[in-house]
Amino acid sequence: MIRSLRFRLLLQTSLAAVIVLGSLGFALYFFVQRSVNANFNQALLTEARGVAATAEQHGDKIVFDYAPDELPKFTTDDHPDYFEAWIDPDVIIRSPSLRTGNLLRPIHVDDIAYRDIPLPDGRPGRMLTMSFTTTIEPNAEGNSSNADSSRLILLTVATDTLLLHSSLTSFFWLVTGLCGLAIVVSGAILFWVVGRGVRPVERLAADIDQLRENDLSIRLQAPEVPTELQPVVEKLNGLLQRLDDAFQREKAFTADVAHELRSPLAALLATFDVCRSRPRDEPAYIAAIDKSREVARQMQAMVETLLILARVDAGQLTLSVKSLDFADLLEDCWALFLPRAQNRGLAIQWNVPASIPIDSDPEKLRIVLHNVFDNAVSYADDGGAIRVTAQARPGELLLEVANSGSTIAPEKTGQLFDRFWRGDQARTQTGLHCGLGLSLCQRLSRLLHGQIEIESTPQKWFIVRLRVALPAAQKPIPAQPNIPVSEPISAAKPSPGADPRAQHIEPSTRSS
Amino acid sequence: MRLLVVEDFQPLRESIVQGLREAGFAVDEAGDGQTALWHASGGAHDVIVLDIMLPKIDGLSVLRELREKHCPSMVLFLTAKDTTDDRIRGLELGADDYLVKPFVFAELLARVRAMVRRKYDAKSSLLRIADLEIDTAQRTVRRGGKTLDLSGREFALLEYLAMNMGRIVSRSDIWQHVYDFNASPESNVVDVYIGMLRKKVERPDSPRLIHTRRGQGYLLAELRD
Repeated sequence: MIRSLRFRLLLQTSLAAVIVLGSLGFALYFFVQRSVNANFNQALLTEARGVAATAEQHGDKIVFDYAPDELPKFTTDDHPDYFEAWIDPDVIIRSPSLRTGNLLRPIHVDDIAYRDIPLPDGRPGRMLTMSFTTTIEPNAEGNSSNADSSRLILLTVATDTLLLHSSLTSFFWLVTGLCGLAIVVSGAILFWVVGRGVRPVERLAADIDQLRENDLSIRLQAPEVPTELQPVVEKLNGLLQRLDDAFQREKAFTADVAHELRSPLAALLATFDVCRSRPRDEPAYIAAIDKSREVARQMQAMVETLLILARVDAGQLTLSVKSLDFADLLEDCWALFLPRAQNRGLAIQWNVPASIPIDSDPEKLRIVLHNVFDNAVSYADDGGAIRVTAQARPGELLLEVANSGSTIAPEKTGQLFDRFWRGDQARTQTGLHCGLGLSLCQRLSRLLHGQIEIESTPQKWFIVRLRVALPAAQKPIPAQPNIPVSEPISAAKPSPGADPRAQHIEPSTRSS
Repeated sequence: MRLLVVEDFQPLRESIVQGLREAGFAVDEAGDGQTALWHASGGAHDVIVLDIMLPKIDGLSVLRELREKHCPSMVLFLTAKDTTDDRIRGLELGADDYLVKPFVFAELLARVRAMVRRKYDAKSSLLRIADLEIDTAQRTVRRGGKTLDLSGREFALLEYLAMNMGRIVSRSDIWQHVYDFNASPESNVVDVYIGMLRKKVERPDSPRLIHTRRGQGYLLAELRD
């Protein structure tokens, strides 16, 4: 397989040129040869008729009456022509040029026939054979003998074809030569034309060669390339755009990661430096160590979140589906946040049925719940409320977690899924909420065959809705519609999800 | 010297505040831009250590507002962003210096001290008046070659007087720049400290350096007459 476009184009067009020019040459030669042969034969026929015209019948005597200079070609010794005539079966006349030689006597002649033969003197020649009847000349007495009847005479006339053959040969070589020359010249022209034709491709290749992975902002110039290459250029530019976007995102993400890790690092270093600057008593050292440990834990949580995100992005995280009770899972997760919610005086509305058996991945759900609860507890206004509503519908699990005191403009909710987005340039507590949580929840809910939506209502409710598609085989749970909760359950009173373990678990600082 | 530390990440803020207090500064702290503006609008702080990414009002906006109000405080930007653009933006808005997180605390301290010196046009960390030598870096005081044993508050007061050498500073100036707000400015705590400082600094065989100007305040100077 020839890979070069230039070579292939050249080869194919050259082949076409050879076929066309060869056919043309052959056709030209064929027609010229036919025409020349026809002319030659016509001349031979004329010559034969000339001979025939000299035949006279006098009674039963046939006379070819001609003077030697009337038919010079048959009398000369120098490359003569020949004729011979028969009245079956006898030869009645022979051209003087024949001398002792003979022309072939045709067996039967209906019409004029031509035949290529060697002449008696060895030259190649062509023989015409014809038959004619004599015209009866009135005899000298002026009366014609009725006994006389016209006789059928068989005449052959032969002439050499040396000139004919040499002319045709010359013509053949002339045509061949011209065709060959035309092919060579057209080949050269084609080479040039094809070269010009593929130049845009080469230019495009050179342009593409200029692209560097560290500067993807360059775009190929579409107006300069031929129409046929425009789609290629557009597709390449599209690819470049996507690559550039991905690189920019990656760069921004790396910068954000670095940025988010810097504050806790600075805290660690400052704590160490200050602690080390003078001798201290034991409680001061313990306090510094505890503080450092807490900061390190926050960093760890963030790094873990990042790792999960990276794994989801890389498609390395797989689902491990189990039968579970979603209501229990909700209560388990909520137990971690209950102390914080109580500290902040948040009112809890818990609209969750006693049991929601589903088949799903509990660990992924746990991470999502953790982040959603963490956000709700962190961002609710002081003394505000949190509303948790869950229900399973056939083939679908619905969870809604809402907190009051939303500061997010309704039109900005889409940006919340961007990594490290945090409401504003100004942000809430560093380290606690580095803006990865919702991005992670979104990825995980997709992995769980679900989706997550955010709404910020004009009534300042910040609502996170999670829908997870349940396997079709799932036995539909009788829908338990929202249980209207007439009065909010105070966080001070343990909600159904309150877990005694909650008191032993330090307030979660998992990044969200 | 009075400082304001504005940083939203509490563990970091705590350590910075502790370190600066131990270095002899009176330090106020704020965890968001709004509180920072409330603290700083009085202009009492010599240096404000300001984080850029802050809740409510970000650091750049805080700085812009302070500069619009002609707040005389020097501002040290503390930033996790290390791109040149971010630094240029901060400096163009009127920040006097910047430090990229994470940093070595000693560097923060050195920069804050340098900014204090710049604010009071002091060329070096060693302040001299007659035979009194105040080393603001080592936090030592010598008079006639003898080291004086001053408490942190006494040193801070002497340092402030020395930074304003030859100028009269009012009680409220001293109050604002030297002390944390744990006593009301109407009390005579400034006079008490001036008295204690005089006992340690003044020598019978040397000229008096700490002078009282009735109704105006105090003055650290070597007066010829």
